[in-house]
Amino acid sequence: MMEETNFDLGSFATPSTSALLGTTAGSSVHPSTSHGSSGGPSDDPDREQDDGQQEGGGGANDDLLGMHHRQTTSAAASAQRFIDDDDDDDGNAGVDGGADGAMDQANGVERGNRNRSATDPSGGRLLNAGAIHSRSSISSSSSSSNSSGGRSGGIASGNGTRGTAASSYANRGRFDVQSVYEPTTHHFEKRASSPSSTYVDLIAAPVESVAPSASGSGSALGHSGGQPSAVNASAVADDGGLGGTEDGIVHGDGEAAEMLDVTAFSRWLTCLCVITFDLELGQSMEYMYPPTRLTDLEKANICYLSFPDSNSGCMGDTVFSFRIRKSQGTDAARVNALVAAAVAGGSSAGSASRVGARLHGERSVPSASPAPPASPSAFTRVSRTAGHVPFSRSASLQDTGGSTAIANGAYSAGGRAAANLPVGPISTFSADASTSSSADSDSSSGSGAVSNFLYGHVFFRQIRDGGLKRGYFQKSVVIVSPYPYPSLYGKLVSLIAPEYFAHGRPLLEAASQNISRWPAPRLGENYELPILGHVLRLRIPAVHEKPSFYQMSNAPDHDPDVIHATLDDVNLYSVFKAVLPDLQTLWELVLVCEPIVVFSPSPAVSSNAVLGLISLINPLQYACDFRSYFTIHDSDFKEYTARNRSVPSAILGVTNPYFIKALHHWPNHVVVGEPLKRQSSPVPGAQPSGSGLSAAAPVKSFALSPASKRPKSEWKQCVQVQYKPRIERSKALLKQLEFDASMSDSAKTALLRQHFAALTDAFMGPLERYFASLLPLQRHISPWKHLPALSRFVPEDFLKSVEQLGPQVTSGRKGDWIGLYKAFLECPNFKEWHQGKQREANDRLRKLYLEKVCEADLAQWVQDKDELHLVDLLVRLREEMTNPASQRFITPAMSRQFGAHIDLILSKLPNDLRASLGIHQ
Amino acid sequence: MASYNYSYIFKYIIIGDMGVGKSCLLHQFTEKKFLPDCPHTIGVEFGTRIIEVNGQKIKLQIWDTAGQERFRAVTRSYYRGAAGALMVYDVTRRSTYNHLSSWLTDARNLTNPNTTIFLIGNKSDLESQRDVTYEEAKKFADDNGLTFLEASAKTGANVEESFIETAKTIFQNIQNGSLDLNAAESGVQQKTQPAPAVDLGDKPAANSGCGC
Repeated sequence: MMEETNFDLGSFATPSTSALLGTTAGSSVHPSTSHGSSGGPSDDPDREQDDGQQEGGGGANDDLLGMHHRQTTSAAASAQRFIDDDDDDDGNAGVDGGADGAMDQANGVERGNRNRSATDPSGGRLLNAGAIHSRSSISSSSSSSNSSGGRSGGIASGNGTRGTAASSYANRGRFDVQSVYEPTTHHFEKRASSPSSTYVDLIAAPVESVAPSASGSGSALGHSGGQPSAVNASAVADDGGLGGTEDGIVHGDGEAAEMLDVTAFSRWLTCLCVITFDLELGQSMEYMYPPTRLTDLEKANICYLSFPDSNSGCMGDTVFSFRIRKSQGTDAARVNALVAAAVAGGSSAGSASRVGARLHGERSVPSASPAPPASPSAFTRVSRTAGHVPFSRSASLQDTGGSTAIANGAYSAGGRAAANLPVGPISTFSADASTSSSADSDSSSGSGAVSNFLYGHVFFRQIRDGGLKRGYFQKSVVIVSPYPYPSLYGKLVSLIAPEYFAHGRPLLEAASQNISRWPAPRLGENYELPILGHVLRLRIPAVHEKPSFYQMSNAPDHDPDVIHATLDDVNLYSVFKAVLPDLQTLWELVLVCEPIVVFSPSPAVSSNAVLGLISLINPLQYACDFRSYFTIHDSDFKEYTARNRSVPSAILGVTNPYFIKALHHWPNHVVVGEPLKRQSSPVPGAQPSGSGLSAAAPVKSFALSPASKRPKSEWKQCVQVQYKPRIERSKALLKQLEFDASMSDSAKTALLRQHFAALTDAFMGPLERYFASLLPLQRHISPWKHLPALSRFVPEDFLKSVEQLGPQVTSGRKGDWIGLYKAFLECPNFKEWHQGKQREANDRLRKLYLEKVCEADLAQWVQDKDELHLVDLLVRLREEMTNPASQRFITPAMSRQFGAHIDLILSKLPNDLRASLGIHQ
Repeated sequence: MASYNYSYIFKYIIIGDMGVGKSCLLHQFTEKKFLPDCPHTIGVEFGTRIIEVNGQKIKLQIWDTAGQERFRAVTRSYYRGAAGALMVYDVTRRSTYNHLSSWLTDARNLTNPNTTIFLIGNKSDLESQRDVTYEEAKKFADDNGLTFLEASAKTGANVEESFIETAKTIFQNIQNGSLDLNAAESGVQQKTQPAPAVDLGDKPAANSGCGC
């Protein structure tokens, strides 16, 4: 059955991607135009949906849009089964594709079975015995490094900060689950010269062996049978579209005798990519450093999103960002296996080349088939869940356990996350080694990859160059990162890209080397990060750090040199100045997770606008999906443009006029940004009007009717919503912003920030107060009883409290606050907030409780207690000692106290009972 | 960890042929330890240390460049804005000494005129393998207006002195006005505020001296 799904990738027609950048004007840019020269049998994505069998024939696979829906029924059924059965087992099953060879790839069923039957999760997906060996050697090296307290801070920090931090973690190893992972970070002192060093020695792992995917067998390599199938199917499709280009990717200079601590590097960055526009192939990945195992789908998304979508009007340098969904069971795990293999090969070039040869051999089997195509339900399921995965700064930074398994629920970060706790970053190796023993965390083994999304930060350069074939130099340098902070990564990519254009690949190596020396990112910390002759000063705010602390340029403690790792360094005023009166409406929309689409003339405006929108509700975190720059080529295109179901809660930033049609059914539209002055065809419908500024009032003339294939209307900045604003606007603020010419844009932005921070504060006040009322009283915490629980959040009770003391009273602002609360309580932002509060409260309670237990006068208490009580307390103490939720809070001193308590109780128990409790003294 | 306070930041670069011991000198200076097996530097490494010169606390930001030719173009972009350049050769390998004039040309061309260039003959502990005499190098230094010391990253001899003497010279230049702190790429940043605006914990606040 599965054999049917084996495609001969070699027979695919050369993809036609020439339409990608040439997607010039108007709505003529129907995505399916990319079929033009492919000669595929099925040009209509809709038809493909109906007629999945076309798939096998291949040829239409350059259609990135239809790809999720192509499937054969039989394959779909198996894919579905894989998902049902293997969700937990195969979270990083991607690894095994790496070396399982062509036979496995040709037989998906068998492979799936094998995966399922693998009782040891790590065994099922290792490359080979060598890899197993290497992995264990790595983990043992970590632990030895742990016990020795780590190497000293090395040259990276004269203050010795790093070394100290590391050893203190090593000392805490026993009590802090996270810290177990920490010691491997010592290895970023590249001097670790032990045989089990965790450095990726690229000499030892030849270029080919690290190439993320070769054409042909590429997707098979990346995706194994049990992996959620949406990814697979898409990857298959991608091979048509990008497969050819990937042959051209060069991963590392052959001569590079470098050693990069990928583990340390990946705490901040996933990789650096150079995307070029190939006249034959369209966007293609020219170079990637360090070699990173992204899935084909991820790579395709990165390629397409790194270039302007709809025209070539962005002359000069453009910096923008995007967000893509991560394929499941993705890179980190695969990198692990690969690196493990390389390390296992030893540092000798000889054995390493075996690795290379083996993988190389695999590449030469082009007909080895990729995994089964997607079942639509599987895809829907994945995306629906992921759609509600919050972006949460705390969660993403704290959930360093690895990529959160989508299947495990969107909020799985919660278990481990605790506000303001230092978080031990996890090395890929140790994380893999340690999590593989637990079925629960199986699917989340990974590294710095911490959420279901990856972020791209693009520096796109387009300049005239008569020497080139097309007369233009067009290239992007992209930082792919697990975190969205545009202020940091935008700065970083702006430093790296121009130097790269001047100096070439060694520059990327040098930059990566610098980054791999950076200490791990933690909330509430300040950093000085050396990079390419500059020292960036960064603050990663703590979870609930007030934005006013750093946002207001007139604040006394404002230091303009410090970059803040937040989403909200967008100059709100300059982005939204044409639609200021509607900004508060947008605040409401973002607050209650209403879908919004933002039309802009350029990716830069688009990403600023989208990030600006989600930052409106600061310090509340936006919990739905947002795409600061979304194109027709994004693999989620179909999902977001589908009309046959409700519009997903998301914010999309788009530039391609095609979306006017494709997203017409989205209820809320925002048009911002001055049209670019361009030589050739413009974006959304219009000629540069230059009059955008005057469009201060909502303009209804922007025709968004599906019938208008090429809207003739002027480009006018406006906000069109199918939503009735509930809260009264501040006219005074609007007047001030409109008429005070003396204020700079950034001062006006600060005013706006203040306004919205106050508004959010007023809105959240009652929620905070009500939540506080649900907490047990401190005096109810007793060492002799179980931990008291929080009371339940009852919406009705809460709304009653609002009627008495809501924002209408506290802020004096009129409006339908109750209605707004009702909508909010239904939306993911509330869920995310509420769960964060619960986590925080439970942690605080538990900490208090543990402290009380430690301080308790046990000697007094045991005096008059019978056996029953004694044993009960004993069991409870033991539970606390082993409870992971508690272990984070148990200091060595507390642990000794617990030990003393236990000894005391035991001494009061008769000998026979002691024995039956398993204690031998 | 103690919170440091300091009045200046100086940017240093360390340059010289591959294998002369640049990274080991840096490591010896920042960690007071010798690294016996030091792999090649990729691009540029970074280290900091706070020293005291004439009662002033000075934070040194030291960029240790790769000697490999492959990175030569890359490392050149680090020269900009350096207040001090430590130019290193290996007393046991004449070729590394012979290349000094090329390194010096780079340093002169790519840094500002007031950059203090300090010549270090490293591996002075390997007396038996010496290939370049002290006198010869001293003459080269004098001819080119450089300060010169022979040092050993292994024993630590003269390592502190090299870094600190360089800082003293820079500080003098500041005092006598020959180094203009307001110049865009002086490589020196003076801390004007008494306390950092943001509490940087054990990572002292500083306006970096390199325009970022």
